[in-house]
Amino acid sequence: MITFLFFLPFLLGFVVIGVYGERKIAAFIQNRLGPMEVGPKGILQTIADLLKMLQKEDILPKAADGKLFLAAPLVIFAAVFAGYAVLPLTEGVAGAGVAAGLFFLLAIVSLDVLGILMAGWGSNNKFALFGAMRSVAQIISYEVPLGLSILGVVMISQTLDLQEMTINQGILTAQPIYLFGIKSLGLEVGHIGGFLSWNVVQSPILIVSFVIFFIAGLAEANRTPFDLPESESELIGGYHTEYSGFRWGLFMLAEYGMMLLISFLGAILFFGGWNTPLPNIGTLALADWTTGLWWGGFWLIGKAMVLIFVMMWVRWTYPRLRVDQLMDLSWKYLTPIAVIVLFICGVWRLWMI
Amino acid sequence: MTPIDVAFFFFLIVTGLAGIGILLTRNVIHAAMLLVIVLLGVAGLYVLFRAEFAAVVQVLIYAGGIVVLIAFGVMLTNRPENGKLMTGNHLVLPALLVSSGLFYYLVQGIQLLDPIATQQVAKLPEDQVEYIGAAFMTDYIVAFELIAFILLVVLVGAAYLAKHHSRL
Amino acid sequence: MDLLTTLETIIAELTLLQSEIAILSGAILLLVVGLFRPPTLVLKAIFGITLLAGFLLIGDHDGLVLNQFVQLDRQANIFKYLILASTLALLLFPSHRFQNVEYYFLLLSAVVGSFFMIDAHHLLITFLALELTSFASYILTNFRFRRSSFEASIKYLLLGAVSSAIMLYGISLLYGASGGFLLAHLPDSKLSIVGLLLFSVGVLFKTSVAPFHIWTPATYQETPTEVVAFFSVVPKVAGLILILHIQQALPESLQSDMILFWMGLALVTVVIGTFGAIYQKHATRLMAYGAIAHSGFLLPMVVLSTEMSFGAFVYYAVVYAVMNMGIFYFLSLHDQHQITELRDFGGYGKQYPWLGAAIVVVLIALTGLPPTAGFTAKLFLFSTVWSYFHTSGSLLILTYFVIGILSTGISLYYYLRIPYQYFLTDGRHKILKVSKVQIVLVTFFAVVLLLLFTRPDILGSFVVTYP
Repeated sequence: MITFLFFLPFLLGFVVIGVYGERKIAAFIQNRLGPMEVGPKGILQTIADLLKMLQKEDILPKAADGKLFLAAPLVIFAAVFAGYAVLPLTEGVAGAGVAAGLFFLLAIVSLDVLGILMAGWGSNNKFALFGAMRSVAQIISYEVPLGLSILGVVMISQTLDLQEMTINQGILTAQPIYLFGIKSLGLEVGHIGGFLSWNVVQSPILIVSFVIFFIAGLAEANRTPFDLPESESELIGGYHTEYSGFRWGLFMLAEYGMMLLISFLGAILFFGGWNTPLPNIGTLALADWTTGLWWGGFWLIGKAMVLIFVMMWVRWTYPRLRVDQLMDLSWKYLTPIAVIVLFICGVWRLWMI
Repeated sequence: MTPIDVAFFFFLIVTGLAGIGILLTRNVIHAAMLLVIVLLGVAGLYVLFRAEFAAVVQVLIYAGGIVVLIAFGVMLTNRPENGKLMTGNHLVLPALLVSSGLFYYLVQGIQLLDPIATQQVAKLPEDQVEYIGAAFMTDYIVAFELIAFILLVVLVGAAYLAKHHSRL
Repeated sequence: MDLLTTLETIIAELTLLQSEIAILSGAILLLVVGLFRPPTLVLKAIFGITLLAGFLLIGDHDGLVLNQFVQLDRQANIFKYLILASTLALLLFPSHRFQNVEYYFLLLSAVVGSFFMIDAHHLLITFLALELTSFASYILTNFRFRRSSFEASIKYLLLGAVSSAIMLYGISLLYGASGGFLLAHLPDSKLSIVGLLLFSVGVLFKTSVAPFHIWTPATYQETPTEVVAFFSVVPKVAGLILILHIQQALPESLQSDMILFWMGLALVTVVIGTFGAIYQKHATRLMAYGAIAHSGFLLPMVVLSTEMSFGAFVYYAVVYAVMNMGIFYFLSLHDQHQITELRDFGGYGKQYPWLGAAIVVVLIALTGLPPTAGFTAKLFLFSTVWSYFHTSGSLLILTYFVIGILSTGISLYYYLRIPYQYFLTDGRHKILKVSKVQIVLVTFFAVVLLLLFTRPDILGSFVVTYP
């Protein structure tokens, strides 16, 4: 319940800041200023846009399938937001205590495909339908490497509970953590903590997993370079072509929500979640000092924000993929690599740790 | 009425209503979406019966996989003018007979027998994930490997058919 | 520690499935080799070697293993040999362009599925084995890649999916009735019977027993002929053994109820197969109805447990496999020259009289008349049915007996339509080329059928070794 009370306002606030941030980052990358007029440095621009959006008429096209059309944005947002239910926010605050938490997250987030299908079909418009079909094909294809890369982490950390997984990546763990996960080196780093106990350092093969996870995550969130479903230049917005006002806003919210969820998940699975990046160095017990209730939240959100920044950076750097390239990337490169990495993870777990 | 009872009846009624909705609606896409509600309702019941893992699998495979497949299949078919893909109800009477007959035997069977639930709920292990994982690799190994092979066959077949079709 | 010992037992018991594992590995090897686009000969060699390996590795263990999931039955092993031999015989059929990696892979996987149908004890394995065979079959139906074969394949797939769904529903009822997946623990209740009836739909579908036979004619017509030969023998024999095992596993009280069910369906099947065949114009379609009728003849021998029923079934199944291989081999020789309709067969008897004579023998065997093994098989069948009638006195069995004999007479009419066209009409609208080797092969099938008539004990010795 605490996580619900935290995440809903946080998500809303994040979208406002996120949109502003995205514009500023875009402007920076393209060597221009971005929004400057509303408020100091244009900081109120998003709020103004938001007010404009909320005042728009809620249009229901005549040819649309009313029930599907109206329900679709809610389904998408609900599916994405339900994923937040199992995220551990900080030490001792972990949301729903589902033993199969990670699995639940993957399952419930996969439901947003249904919302997209409903929107695309319900709009009764060929661009919306094309957008929806592209989107679904893309999301389902990329769920395979996404799931496989996450499975590697699960294999290494031997749990599906995200909170337990996080605890095992820091100084609070009860298990011994060996440097690079190689027991024979004999370097126990559990008490040192910091970045040395993160999953990517515990078993370096997970770096490959993370890259796959991140690429697949971008595709899941329909972000550039995988934004074919909503490519303005071809499909005038894809499945949300026909939407306006607050319903359109929900799509936006869901997209940013998905981005944030992927970033949180990436931080938790690979970069220690709410654990501090600072290690204990002798008497300089940085890790001990920077671990605690508030610190935890700070580190987790901080890590997520870094990943969000990378996503925006990618968006303004790379061009959009073609459909066949998209499928090639998923099925011919990411999936086989993910399977191999999964295999190595299993071997690593058996022989090294 | 404990909260658990309330939740139980809530899921039960939602599942039942959505199921009846599937029968009554003639719009294929609406039926598919109602199916999602049925599946989610059943998943909720699983959670109440302390089978969380089964619930998650239910959502992942059925709601997130199968129904998407159905909806996707519908979308790939030719779209009629009014945008609504309709189906009819055929053989209503025989279907009613068969299903009410089955229902009768089902009810009778459940009344006669020890409900399975009372025998087995008590035996549920603490860590379901670990238990299921171990069962796959020990007791159910043959079934597990057989499923793996079936999936391989289906994958090869699907790829082959798709590949060949484009050449025609 | 406990887990470790369990694992050791499992690994030890898995070696009992070495034949299945060998075929499975062969199938996967085939896929891997296929990546390098090898010539067809290599594929055929791997296919053949895999089957031979499976042949040699069939064990002779008896009993339930692997936590009661698998039932190894020494008696039923002869059908594994039969399945492998029939599949191996597919290599004799004329080559086609579509015989690529996937083709052989799917054939092997259907063989694995059929093996597990024979091995299944736990209902989960039963279901999975049926599905494995079915999925391979759905795709194999499509290998001609014509519009009509897509249609046949989709029909087959849809009907098959529905029958699997009904079967699963039945399994869930059985689970509810007995609290487990083993048939032996079923209580004698109406729920069990309803569950069993629904469960049997999936198996009956595979063995094309009426009224679950609807897919058979369309599928047989469009499937490549050698695959039809495979379909008509391998999954069917495996499915019948599955029925045998189901029947044996049931508690006494349920057995007699189920016998009525099976026999009623067998009766319907014989009638539908026989009368359906009369009006057919397409040769493979005709044989499809013939195969349906034969399902009706094969079924009683697995469900009626009399002293000689199993021996009779072995004999009938072997003869059936030889007959079907023979006739479909003959049809595939013509099929590659687009001779498929019955009237296309006109006049080739003058060109290839020896081929025609050989096929007459095969067709007479299919009808069940002397001097061929088909007659002996029918004789065994009817004496089984008769002896069961004596002990039970059931009217249904008597009806089956009478109808079965009558339909044998009727089947003479439609089976002999091919030789009629061959010898007594003139046509020869298409060019038919048959090599000497191919004629020798058809003759070989005919000779085997004649030989089994004169010396039925060749097979008998097989049956006797496993009493």
